[in-house]
Amino acid sequence: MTRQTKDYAADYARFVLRHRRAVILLLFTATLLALYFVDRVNLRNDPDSLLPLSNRYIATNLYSDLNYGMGNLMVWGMKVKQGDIYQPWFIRMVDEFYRDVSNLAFANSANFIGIPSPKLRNIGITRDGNLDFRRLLPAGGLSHDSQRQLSQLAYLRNGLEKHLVLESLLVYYQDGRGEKCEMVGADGLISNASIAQVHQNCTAKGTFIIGDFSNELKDNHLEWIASAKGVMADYQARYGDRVEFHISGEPYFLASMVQELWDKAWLFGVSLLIILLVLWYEFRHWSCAVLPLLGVGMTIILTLGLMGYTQFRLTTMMALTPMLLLAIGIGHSMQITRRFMQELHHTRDPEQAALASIRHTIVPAALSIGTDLHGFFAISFIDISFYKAYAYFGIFGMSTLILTTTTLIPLLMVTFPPRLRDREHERGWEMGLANGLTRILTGPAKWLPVVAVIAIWLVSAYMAELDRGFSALLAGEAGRTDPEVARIQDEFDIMPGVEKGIHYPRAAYKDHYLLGALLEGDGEVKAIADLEALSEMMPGVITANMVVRSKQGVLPPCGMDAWNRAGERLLGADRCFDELADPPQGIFNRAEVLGALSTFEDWLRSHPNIGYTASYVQFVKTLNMVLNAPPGEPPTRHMNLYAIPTIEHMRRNAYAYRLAGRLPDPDKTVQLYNGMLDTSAVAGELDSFINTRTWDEGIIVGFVNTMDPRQTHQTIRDIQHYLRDHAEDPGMDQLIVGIQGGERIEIPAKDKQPRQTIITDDSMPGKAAIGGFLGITEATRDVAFKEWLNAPVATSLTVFIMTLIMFRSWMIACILISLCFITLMTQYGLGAYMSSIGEWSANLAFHVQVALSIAMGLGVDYGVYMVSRLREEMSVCGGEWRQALRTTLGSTGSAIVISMVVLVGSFIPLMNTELANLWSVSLYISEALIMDVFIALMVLPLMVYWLRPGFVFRQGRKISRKDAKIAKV
Amino acid sequence: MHKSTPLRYAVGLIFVLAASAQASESMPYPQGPMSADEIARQVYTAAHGGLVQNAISKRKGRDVAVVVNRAPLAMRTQDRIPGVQTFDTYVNNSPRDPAIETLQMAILTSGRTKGTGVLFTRYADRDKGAIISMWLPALRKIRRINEPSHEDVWFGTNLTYGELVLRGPDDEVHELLGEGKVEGCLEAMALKHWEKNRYTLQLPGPQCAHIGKPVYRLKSATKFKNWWYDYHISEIDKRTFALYQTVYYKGAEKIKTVYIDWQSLDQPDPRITYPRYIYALTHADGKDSMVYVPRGTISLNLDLADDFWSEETLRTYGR
Repeated sequence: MTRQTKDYAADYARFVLRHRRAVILLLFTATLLALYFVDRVNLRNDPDSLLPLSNRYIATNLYSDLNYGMGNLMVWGMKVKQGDIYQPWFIRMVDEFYRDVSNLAFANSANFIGIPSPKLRNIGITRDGNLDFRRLLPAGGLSHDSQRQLSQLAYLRNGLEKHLVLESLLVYYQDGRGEKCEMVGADGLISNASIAQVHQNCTAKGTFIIGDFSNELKDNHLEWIASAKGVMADYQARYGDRVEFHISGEPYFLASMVQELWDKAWLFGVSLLIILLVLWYEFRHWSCAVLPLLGVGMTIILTLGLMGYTQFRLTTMMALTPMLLLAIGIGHSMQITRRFMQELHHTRDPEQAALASIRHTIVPAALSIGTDLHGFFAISFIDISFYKAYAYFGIFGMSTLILTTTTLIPLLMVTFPPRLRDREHERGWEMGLANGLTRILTGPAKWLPVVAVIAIWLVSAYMAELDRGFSALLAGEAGRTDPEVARIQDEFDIMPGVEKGIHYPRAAYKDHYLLGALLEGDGEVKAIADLEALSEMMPGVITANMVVRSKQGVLPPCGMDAWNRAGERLLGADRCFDELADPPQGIFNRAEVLGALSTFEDWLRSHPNIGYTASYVQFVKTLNMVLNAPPGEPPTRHMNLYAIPTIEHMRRNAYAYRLAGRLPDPDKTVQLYNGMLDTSAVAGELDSFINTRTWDEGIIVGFVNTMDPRQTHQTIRDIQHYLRDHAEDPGMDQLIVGIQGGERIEIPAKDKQPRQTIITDDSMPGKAAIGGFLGITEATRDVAFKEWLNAPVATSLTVFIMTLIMFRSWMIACILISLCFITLMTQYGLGAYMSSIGEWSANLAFHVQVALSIAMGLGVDYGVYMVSRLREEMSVCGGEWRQALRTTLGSTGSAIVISMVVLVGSFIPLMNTELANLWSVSLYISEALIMDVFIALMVLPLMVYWLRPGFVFRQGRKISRKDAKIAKV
Repeated sequence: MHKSTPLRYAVGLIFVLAASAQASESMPYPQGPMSADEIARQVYTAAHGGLVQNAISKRKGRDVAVVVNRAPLAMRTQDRIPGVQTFDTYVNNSPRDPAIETLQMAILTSGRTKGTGVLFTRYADRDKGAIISMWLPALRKIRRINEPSHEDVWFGTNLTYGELVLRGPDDEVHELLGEGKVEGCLEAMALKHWEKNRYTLQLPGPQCAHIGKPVYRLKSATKFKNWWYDYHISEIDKRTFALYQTVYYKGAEKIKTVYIDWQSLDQPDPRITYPRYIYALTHADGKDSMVYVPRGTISLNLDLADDFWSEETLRTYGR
């Protein structure tokens, strides 16, 4: 605040006042223009696009989506309340439901699976002993003839109970106690015994329809979710008394989040009303309440317009941006409005008041916004799309606040001057606050806030298990025999009590919400309730995709230049592959590889967190059983043949294979199966599991039965360890799992999106990259571990530099940043508490971590305002500390309290949607701001007083060193 | 995500010559105006009848019958050339056993399923399902399979068993929309340069020789519930009852078009023709398939005993 700066400020104030109408017109025109783009905001909510595509987990997911599809799966569950599923009305309902959901927009109906699916065929024999592959449910549905209907139901039941591949996935069995019956035995294998146990002791109570939808759905969320919910509502109305319906799936989840945001948009109005009332209470002038809102509203529109114009892919998390702009903008609005009113009281001239208020406020406002911007600036370097979105649009929105609040509000108040009343600038509570806090901070009770802060810090550190973290780090190499110590060292997890992994559904939705309890009764969030119900019923509701490729690769297909007109081959079998003339290529044509994959899949199925797996291997195993079971006998009576025909398997089961003393060639046998499957499948049917272009790569899909972030991490570690330990096994030594570091993945051009090339990083050497939602979960955890310390440290560094430049005082910069670290520790403590109670909507997952940086940027504002005012008042009071402190707390301190009340008050409605991410980020920011206010008002003055930085005390000392000593006493 | 089961094992039987075995003596050449149902029966007879005793298509030199399958548009890449399968077929329309209507045999002669043979026995009593005997060379076993369903895909193509073999005139309700002339060429699979290899080089191009021929336009609505199509509109040669073009609709949406280039076999009855090529295009995803039977591979009324159509022939074929 040099004289030169003040002159600039005065020049700026005079300039905008002189061109008042032009400035107002310009701002309103820009706002109207931005308004035009607001409805183009690209709210997609696509978790795949949140994380950097170069991450190997995400790249694996991207690769499997590009090559195998099935990236947008939906599940509908139907559980009959009385009896079993083999009732005519129920099967008819399922049939009709299947058709209705297959007809939803963007449905890849060929990929749907359910009892009515054409894919669901019998694996049995006819009375004549011929193999029978008829559809289990006729295409035309059940007959209306009662006798025929009974026969069809018996055929369906019989067929389902023999279906090794789909029964586990499509039928939910329950025992007499209402517990789920597992089809897979304790050894992880399906056997005659495990199946018989289920069929004898349990009842088929439910079935599922699994649907696949195209990516275009993400561009039409709202229309799609309306139609999907419409179908559910129709069946609920007709069959709800007899059937429990459940719905889940990524498209539904993501689309319903967007819809929830629009449905609860009125809460934003409630926030505005809260702010309006607080402002009116503070100023008792409607113009002082409305004009700040107008200014902030313009900033919000400008920011939303920019979002629409740039078509940046946004998530529902971005709903917080308008709220942050509103809350922060209102803080600045209050400062300028308060100053304008003070000046108006003093001069009784609106123009003079505007000039003085802009002149005095523009510099601290700019500096304050500058520190806020640094919070956002720091996170803009993190390669997570919604962090970047927060940063870019946060920086833009904050920057406009200089114009829409600090500049525009006084200009509008010149046009619409408020009527003056007595005691405009001082309210009783403010003086009470100032006197009370001054008494505490200058009396013996001054230790209380210090003790309180230390206690809060210690509790936070205890909850976060900081001691365990440091102990593990100090244990060194000797301690690495303990896997947990090794993990802590590898991940530099100094706070192991704070879970940084993510439970995606709970990160998206709360399980209960207060507003629901108030308006609808129980407050249960249906999306989570359905997911939990389906999770109980199904083998698993999130997937782990393992992309399997050969190390060797394949030759390109022979083209026109491979042969001449005389039929002589010009390019040999070492140069190109001739499908008709050369031996089949590709690892999926080798029995040894399929055998190794089968063993791997058996291991996966035996894992406690993996409920089921599916892959092309299952096709081959089923076909092997069907074709080799003795003629005239049901194939499922020979479950031992449900295997890959390796030479070892055939020797063990020679009765089924040996003819004329010879066993078939294993490779030729699987090649025959591959050929048969290839020619009997509809377009794309096999391609969800195997690359039928090369037969050199495929995918194994595991269904994971937990979403607990600790268990999902353990699951992926176990898979990676298995693959590492068996890397040299026969068959496994020919393949790699997941995308490797340094690979290039081409994303083809689509619509307006140009062709894109991704080059993967190698941030996790030696670990197999697993795709699916499990992979996304792990990648998210990796990013969280990378950023949970880095992002706040980066932010604190920029804030430190900014405050150092601003105040030109190392001491002040150190005090401010130290106080920020106290708040940061309490946020980690909050995360640890949420982890300890298993509240996965609010543990310190990566989406929550953005709150750490934002809160730090916002929190330092209060310190900046307090220190600036203390310096000013120390100068005015001639170094009399108590008086300077009282005046600072009565003016700036009370404004900080009001700002905090406005900010938290405006968050409260937002915290009452079903969306967990908004709730958790709001919670962390609110907690930090309350802590920041407490520290700014009760700890910062003490620190300043004890450390006596020259920035504050120098001018006071110039006036009277003696007075300062008196003040200290 | 799991999606499917390997349940349609019935290897694609080669019914091409079943469709070419023409015009029954029991179905005299029609005279005078015809109803929609009568036209449909003539078409069915022309495609499934048995004027010829037997017919075969067998590789001769470099001439061989082929099925070419091309992936849907979204899955086509430069390194994915269309799949090709060559085959020989043998059709017996007049077995001595009156209980048997036809005996059809197909043997695959290339690729991973090379040597796989299929014998399809269809009984005169339609209530008795057909039987497929399949020779699996790698296992050296015969397995018997019951009749495929109408909607089962035929040999990895976008054609179904229903379209090629199983669907009868009584399975649909027919309506004569009128008469006209063939107005355009019959489309064929148009391969890009990088999609061609020595096996697809000889595939024929679009057939324009039928332009101007008088045709019936017949609308046929399926009687099956929840079926993959609602109706199809066909262009049928008024003289030969050859089905040149069939367009399938689901609601108002055109979902598939099948073109067949019927060519004369120089027999007295004009209905005796053979399908030089069948080209089917699925409009939703662009997948297309083509079956090409060179004239040089076809022989009629050979002196072959009924026991040629046997499992033993399957076992020993090509040895």
